[in-house]
Amino acid sequence: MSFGKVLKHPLVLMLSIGLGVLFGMYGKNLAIALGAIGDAYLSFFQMTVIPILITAIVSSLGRLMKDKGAQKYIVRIIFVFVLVLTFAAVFGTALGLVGRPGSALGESTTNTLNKIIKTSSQDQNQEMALKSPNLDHSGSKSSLLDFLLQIIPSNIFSSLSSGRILEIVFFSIIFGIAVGFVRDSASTFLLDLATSLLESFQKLINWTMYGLPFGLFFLIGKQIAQVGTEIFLAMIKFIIIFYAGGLVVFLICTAIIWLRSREKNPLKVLKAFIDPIVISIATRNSFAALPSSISSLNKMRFNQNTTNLVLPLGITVLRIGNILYFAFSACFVAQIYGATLSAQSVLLIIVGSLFAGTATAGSSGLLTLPMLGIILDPLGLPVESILVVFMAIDSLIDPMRTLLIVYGNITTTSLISDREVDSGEGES
Amino acid sequence: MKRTVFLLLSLCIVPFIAFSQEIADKDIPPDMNAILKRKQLVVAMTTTDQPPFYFINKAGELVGFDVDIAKAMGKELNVGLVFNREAKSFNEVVSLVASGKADLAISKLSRTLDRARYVRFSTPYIILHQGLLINRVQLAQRTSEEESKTYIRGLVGKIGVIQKSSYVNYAKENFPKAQVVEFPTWNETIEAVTSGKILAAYRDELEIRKVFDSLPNSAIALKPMYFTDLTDPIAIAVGYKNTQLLSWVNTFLEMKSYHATSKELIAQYKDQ
Repeated sequence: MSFGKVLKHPLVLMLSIGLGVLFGMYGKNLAIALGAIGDAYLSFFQMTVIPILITAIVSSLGRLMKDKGAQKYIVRIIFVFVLVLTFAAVFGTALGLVGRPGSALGESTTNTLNKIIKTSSQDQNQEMALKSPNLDHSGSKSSLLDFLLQIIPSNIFSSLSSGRILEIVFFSIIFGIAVGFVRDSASTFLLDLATSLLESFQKLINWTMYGLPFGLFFLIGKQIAQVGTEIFLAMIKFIIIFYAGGLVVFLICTAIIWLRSREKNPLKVLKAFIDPIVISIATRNSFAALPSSISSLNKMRFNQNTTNLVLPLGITVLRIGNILYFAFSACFVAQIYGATLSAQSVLLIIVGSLFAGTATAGSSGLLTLPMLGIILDPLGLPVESILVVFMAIDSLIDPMRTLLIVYGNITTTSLISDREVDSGEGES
Repeated sequence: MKRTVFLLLSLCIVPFIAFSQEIADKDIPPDMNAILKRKQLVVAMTTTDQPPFYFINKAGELVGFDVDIAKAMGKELNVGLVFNREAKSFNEVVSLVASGKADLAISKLSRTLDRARYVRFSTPYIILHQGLLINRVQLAQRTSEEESKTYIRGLVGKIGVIQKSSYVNYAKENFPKAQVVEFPTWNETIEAVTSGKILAAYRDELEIRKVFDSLPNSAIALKPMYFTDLTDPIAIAVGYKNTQLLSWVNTFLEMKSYHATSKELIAQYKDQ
């Protein structure tokens, strides 16, 4: 086995994650200082994300529009997307209702949570002028309509330079459709250009994979070093139940991909997708895992054109992990405040988590958490205090959330795209 | 000629005589003189402890911010200190001073127009802000997170205050649409807000901070909100005849710079 193959071997990746965990636990300060190396590696991924996003969507959508059967595909995409969204919301709610992460917490847990909320609450939220309303600037309320209108960029170059993913995806879709309507002799060059750009960027990402064991080591080390042990112990029930639920979804996804790929050995499925799996866990950024997910699906011989369209689109709008997590944590908050959930409130959680999760489209990490208000406000439950706790444990939750987004979308893609039947089948 | 020289010379001596003489005891204004002759300064405080202003510590001693001010005053005047703690309420403390049974009231006393009819107030030595301690669930059922401040400005709902305290009037004045509920004690007010019987408890920033810091479940269940533009100035009360004493108290407060924020006060006297 060549050295390059050793670096890409799943066992080596697992080993570097394990070492990274130990590094973060026992070399806290050093792990945080050297985290910069991991961050630089992450930047290397992110560098190619936007070009890959655009070229993948434009080239695939342009070709699809020229295809006679395009309509069939679009109906299938919408159908499967809605199905997957609903599954995520229902599963997250069920997990929260059955797992009961927020009931019977015990005195020491409550005390720890209180201490954390008190120390990290911001003073400006506890001060106001009663008689001069102009003085404080309360956060702007974003309605669903605002959110939809903001997707349309007024200047695509400014969206590109500030990396506003939703706007970029919107532009790419419109542009891809337009290219599809341009007569062949004029558009072939553009589609070929998009494809060759896409393939070059994929090549770049493939080279980057040799550095993955080192990148993982530093990224995971920093991540572990930053987690406070006290809050971790106080929220252990919540974290364990969420991870157990995530694992169940992961196994369901693996089973679906396995059935769709008609591979004999399910372990081969896991092996094929090891790169996107570890990248999403280590970087906590679903877009960073986009390039390697496309490569892996291509390796599994799923229709390349469909993959190039469905996966970038899915990772942007199908926020499976976030929807599931929001539904789950809404149940947690309801249990903390001892609220009894009627059938109507359960329905509110399911629908609310769909909207809240989808509203995180294009962003990742801590920025997504305040969307929880979309579910809790109609339920009449307070957001502010518990939000602080969620932020404190998010470095532990985010890897699973990101994994569910990435792996869930790989599964969705496998459901939509057909497997290419060519002479190469049977080999691997 | 000789006489003129003598007169001129004697004129030159006059200032020396004047400066070398001490201020005569007879020049001390009568109110101050009474205290110095008695060698005693009588300071009134309510019977109920008001930590961190005045309270009995673990060792059984009377300590606190107000006690420290009184002690420093006694030392400056070189007289002994007597604490009169007969008063059951803050208004009774004012009566003690107005009737001359006590020289000063240093008793976390809010300066109000009503009290200013009876006694003279010093400049405030602490300006507390007013605050609400709000039940989070009750608030969330009425309004969303973003609109909560707007909601508080036009607050509709039950606000709990201590019976016959200055906050009864403050509540009616500042939250005209709210329903003011009076409770016999502060503890009962807190119980009502924790259990959700009322929307909020209304008192000064310091008391709200103390409750918020001490209750085990407070941060999850309750939300404090302090008003930057509603103040509760704390001052020393002096009998109406004792103008010189008042002037001395003001000079003392200014020169010794006794002032603190409620956060600092809580931290300073926490361990006692």
